[in-house]
Amino acid sequence: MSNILEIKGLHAEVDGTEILKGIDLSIGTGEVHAIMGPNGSGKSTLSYVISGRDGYDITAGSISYQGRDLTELTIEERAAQGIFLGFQYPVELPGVSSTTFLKTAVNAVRRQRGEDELDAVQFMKRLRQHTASLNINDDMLRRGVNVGFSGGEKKRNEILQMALLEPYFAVLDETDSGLDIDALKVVADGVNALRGPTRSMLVITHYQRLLDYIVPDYVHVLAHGRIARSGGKELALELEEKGYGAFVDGAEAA
Amino acid sequence: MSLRAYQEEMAGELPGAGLPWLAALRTAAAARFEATGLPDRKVEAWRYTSLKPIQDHLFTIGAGKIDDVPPPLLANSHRLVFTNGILHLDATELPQGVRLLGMAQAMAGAPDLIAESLGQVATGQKLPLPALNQALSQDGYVLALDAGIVVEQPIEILFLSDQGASYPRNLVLAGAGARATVVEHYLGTGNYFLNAVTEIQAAAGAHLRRYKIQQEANGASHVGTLAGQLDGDAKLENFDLNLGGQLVRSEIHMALQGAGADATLNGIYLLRGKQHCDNAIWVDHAVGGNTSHQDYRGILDNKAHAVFQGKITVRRDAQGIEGHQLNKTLLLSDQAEIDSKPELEILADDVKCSHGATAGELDETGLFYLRSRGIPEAEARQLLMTAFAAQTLDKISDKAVRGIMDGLVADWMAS
Repeated sequence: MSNILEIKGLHAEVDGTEILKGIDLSIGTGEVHAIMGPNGSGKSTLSYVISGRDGYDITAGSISYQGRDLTELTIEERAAQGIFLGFQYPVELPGVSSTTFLKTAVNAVRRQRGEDELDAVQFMKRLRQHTASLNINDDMLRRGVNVGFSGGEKKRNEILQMALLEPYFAVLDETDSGLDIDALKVVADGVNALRGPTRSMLVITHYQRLLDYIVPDYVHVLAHGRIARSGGKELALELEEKGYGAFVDGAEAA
Repeated sequence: MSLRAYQEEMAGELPGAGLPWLAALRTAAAARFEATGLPDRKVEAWRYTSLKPIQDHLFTIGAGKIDDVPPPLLANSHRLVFTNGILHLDATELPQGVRLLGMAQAMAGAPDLIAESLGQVATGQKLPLPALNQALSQDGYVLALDAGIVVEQPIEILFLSDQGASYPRNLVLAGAGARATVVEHYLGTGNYFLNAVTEIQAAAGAHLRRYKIQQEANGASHVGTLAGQLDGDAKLENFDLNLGGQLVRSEIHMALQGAGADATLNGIYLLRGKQHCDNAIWVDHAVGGNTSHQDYRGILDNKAHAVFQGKITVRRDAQGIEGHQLNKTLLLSDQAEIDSKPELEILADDVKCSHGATAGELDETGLFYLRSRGIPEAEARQLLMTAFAAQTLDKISDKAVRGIMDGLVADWMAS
């Protein structure tokens, strides 16, 4: 199976401070990888570097996506090429109605992909395919994006966006944070429904719990800006048992 | 030239010159203006705005009429058109109990309609520009609504200018329980100076909506003053959209004189280049039990300079009032500038008042969020700016006017 994402020797800094210190990671098409790590290990930085956020500067190494240098693409071009970031803290946009936002995003991506834009009726039909299973009601769609949404609503809204944008590679940054077990199940079901042979995912989480619901093919432990250890899904259980301590210390020694 | 000398020369030519009360009003106004002259920046209320650019244009009155008049903004409106300050197109047939006419027409043909009211709201030493207007004005509109009259169709007043100085003087008299919507549209080309005053007297329970769309020419200077008195349960919804002009001052003086009165004073200013726009608002809660709301938002690009200064005064006996004031500005450039000075002066002890001001760049996190969903940067910026403005535009209760304002705001953002 060919790799959709290939990260080699990646170093990145924020405000002059090096956060990522040599990451190597290969993700195959259709695979789900999990990255676990303690706070401050660089998990979110990695997600921002992949999505191209300003202020996250690559100082060494490379990221290739579908065989091309990802750093040549703007944020929106990456999205159009099929990269999706599920935010740890989805952003509130007062005054931008959710429906307008979703339609604008879908059509912006379609335009960049050379596809026809969806009209209002086509879009609503597409939207309705996903709202019921994600438990998203009309009131949420009328409100400003994420404005007044509960933690669970915000995360479900992220998954709705992912479903509509049909990415090839999704980074889910601490999708479980702030969710109770019922909300977590809805979100995880939403994610699992989107798994498929042409869609890869990188699931970033602090806790093993999420991986009971979104079962990964591979697990990596990130510590001090490096991948300290990689393994199968059983690695998550080992982490749960032993804590990050052993891995973190190991990373420092390496 | 001094105002007194100019006025004496002009006196015989002004409309209603033979009316002693009007001559006295003009002379008193001229004296008030002469006492201070054009305010300079040492005057606190003018600290951020210099009137030097208009100094030499004050007496360039008398530009000719403009023949090329654009169509109305609103379908089915009653419309008056003024060109360079003088009535050019008259209103069509009006419902019973509504009078809409030119100020010069009123002075000449119906002085009793205005004699008691003209110049009674926009007065006082703090108002040198309205005084100048009163001394020199030759025309404007008069809208008088009998008690209980509801005007369904909007009233649209176009002030079209292309040169010289003009001093429109407008008077809105709403009888008890009367309702109407007025759109004042300021539009022009070339270089000119316009100093307009609108006085509003709303009797008990009257509901007025006044929407001002200011699209003066790039080279124009515009000073507009709204002075209003609201009796018990009277409501005024005012919205100022400031888009045009090089030097703009938009003043509001609102007196809440009865319980249950409400003044909702909102506005948007969108400026670029070296445009200067100063919104200055004074709200006076003279008695208890009334409410006022202000929400002004602006977007500034290039070297534009905006000012928001507003003072809510709550007098000692004005218990149980509510007064709110909010000013938010987006700065799109390092060189754009906002001076924001919200002020509360509260002498009563049982009131609900708030004020706040923010200024900042477009939210980087929001921009990243939108772009990460594939929305190109320019479109994402426009979406955020539109959303920012929409939060104030949402407060316009007239749907047709809202549509026009939305369109003008969208045009500004796209240009």
